[in-house]
Amino acid sequence: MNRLLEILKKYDYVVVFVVLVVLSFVLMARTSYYQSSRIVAWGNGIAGDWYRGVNSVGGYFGLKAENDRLAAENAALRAQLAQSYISYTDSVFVVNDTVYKQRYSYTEAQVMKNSWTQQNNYIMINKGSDHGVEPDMAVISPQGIVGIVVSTSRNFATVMPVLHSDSRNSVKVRRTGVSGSLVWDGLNYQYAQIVDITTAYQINEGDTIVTSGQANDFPEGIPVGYVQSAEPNQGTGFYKVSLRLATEFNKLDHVYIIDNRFREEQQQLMKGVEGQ
Amino acid sequence: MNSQTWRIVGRFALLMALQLLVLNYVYLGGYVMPMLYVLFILMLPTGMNRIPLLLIAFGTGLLMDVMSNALGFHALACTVVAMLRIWFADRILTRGEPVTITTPSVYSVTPQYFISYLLLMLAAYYLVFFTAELFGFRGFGGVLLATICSTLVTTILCVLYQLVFLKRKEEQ
Repeated sequence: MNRLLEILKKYDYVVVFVVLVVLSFVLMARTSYYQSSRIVAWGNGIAGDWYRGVNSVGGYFGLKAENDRLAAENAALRAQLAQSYISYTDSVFVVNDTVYKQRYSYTEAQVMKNSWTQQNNYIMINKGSDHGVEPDMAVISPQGIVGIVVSTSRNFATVMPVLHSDSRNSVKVRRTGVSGSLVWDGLNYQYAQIVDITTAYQINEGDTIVTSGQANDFPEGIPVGYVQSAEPNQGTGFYKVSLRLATEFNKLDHVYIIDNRFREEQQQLMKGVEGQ
Repeated sequence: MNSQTWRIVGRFALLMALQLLVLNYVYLGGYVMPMLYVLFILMLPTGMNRIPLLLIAFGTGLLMDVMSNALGFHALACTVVAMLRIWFADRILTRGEPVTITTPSVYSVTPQYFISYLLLMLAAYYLVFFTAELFGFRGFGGVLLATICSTLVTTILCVLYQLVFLKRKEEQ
C-alpha cells in the first residue's frame, strides 16, 4: 500500500495530465458549433466585452470606406425595395389590402470580432437575444451572403460564416436556376466551392451565384459569388465549381440579420412531413 | 509576488495582446497559423513544479479557446506541450551546462539548442492542434504540411520576439 502511494506521489503529474487531456476532449466534443452550450454563451459575454473595446478603437480606421459601401448599398436598396416581400395572392381569395405580406425583416448589426484565417472561422456581432436575434437566422453583408447565427447571449451573437468547415448553404446559378451546395475548403477566404451541381446545364466562368431561398432562411437572390472555374468531375455528373465570394470577409463591418417571419410556420409544416 | 513573477505576468499579457490583436488577423495562406502565445508556456522557468506547469498551460490554452469560440483545441495542444516540456525539454535546455537557467531564451541557452527546443515543442503543439481541428477535413497530408509551415513561421516569430522584447542581462 505504501509503495502504491509512493508511486502515485511520484507520478501525480501524470494523473493531472490525463485529467486535463480528458477534459479537453470533453470540451471539444460538447461545443461543436451547433450546440450553444452554457460555457460558450458565457464565453461570448466575456469575449464580447473584450472585442467591443477593441472594435471601438479599430472602427475609426475604416470609416470612409465603410461610408462609401453603405451609401452604395442604400442606393441599391432603394432600387429593389419590393424584394423583401413575397406575393400573397392565390387564385381563390384575393383581398386587395393584403396582396403582399412582409416575409423578411432586417436588423442592422456591427461586426465586433471577425476571423478569416482559421479553419473554422466565426464572427461575433453586437446584437443578441435582447434584440430578437435567434440561432439559425441568416446574416448578410451589403455585398452578399455572410453566414448563419449559431449562438446568442443577451447582447451578442456568434455567426458561422461561409468560411467554416461545417458551413453548408443552398445556392443556385442565377442564369440557369440550377442549384447546388456551397462549401469551403479552408484554404483561401476569397474563394469557396460548390458541390452537387449537375453538369446537365453549362456553367460559364463569371456566372453569378446567388442564394436559392430553399434552406437556411436566406431570401432568394442574395449574391454569393462569381464562378472562377467549373470543371466536370469525371464520372459523377457533377461540376467542381470554384467561385470568388462576393463578400469580402476580411473587411466586414456592418451586416444585416434576417428574420424570416414565416420560419415557425415553415418548420412546423416540415415537422409534419417528417413525422409521417 | 517577486519581480520574476511580475515579469511572467507581464509577458503573458504582452504575448496574449500580440496574439489576439495582431497575429489572429494576419493571413498567410491556408497553411500558416502563427501562434506566438505558446511561447509563454515555453518560457516558463525551468525547474518549475510539474502540476502548476500543466495547469497554467491548460489555462492558457483554454483562454485562447474561449476567445476563438471552439473549446478544447488549444487547451489540449498546450497541455501536451507542457507534458513534453516536463519529459524532454529541461534535458535539451540544460545539456552540457549546469542547471542554473531560469527562463529559456536565445540568451540563456545556446542558440541552436534553444531553436531546436522551439522547433520540437511547436511541432508537437501544431501536430496535436491540427490533427484535432482539420484531420477530417484535409487528411494527413494537409495536417503535416500545415504543421511544418506553421512551426517554421512561429519559430521565427518566437526568436524575433525574444530579440526585441528581452534584455540580454535580465533573463539570464
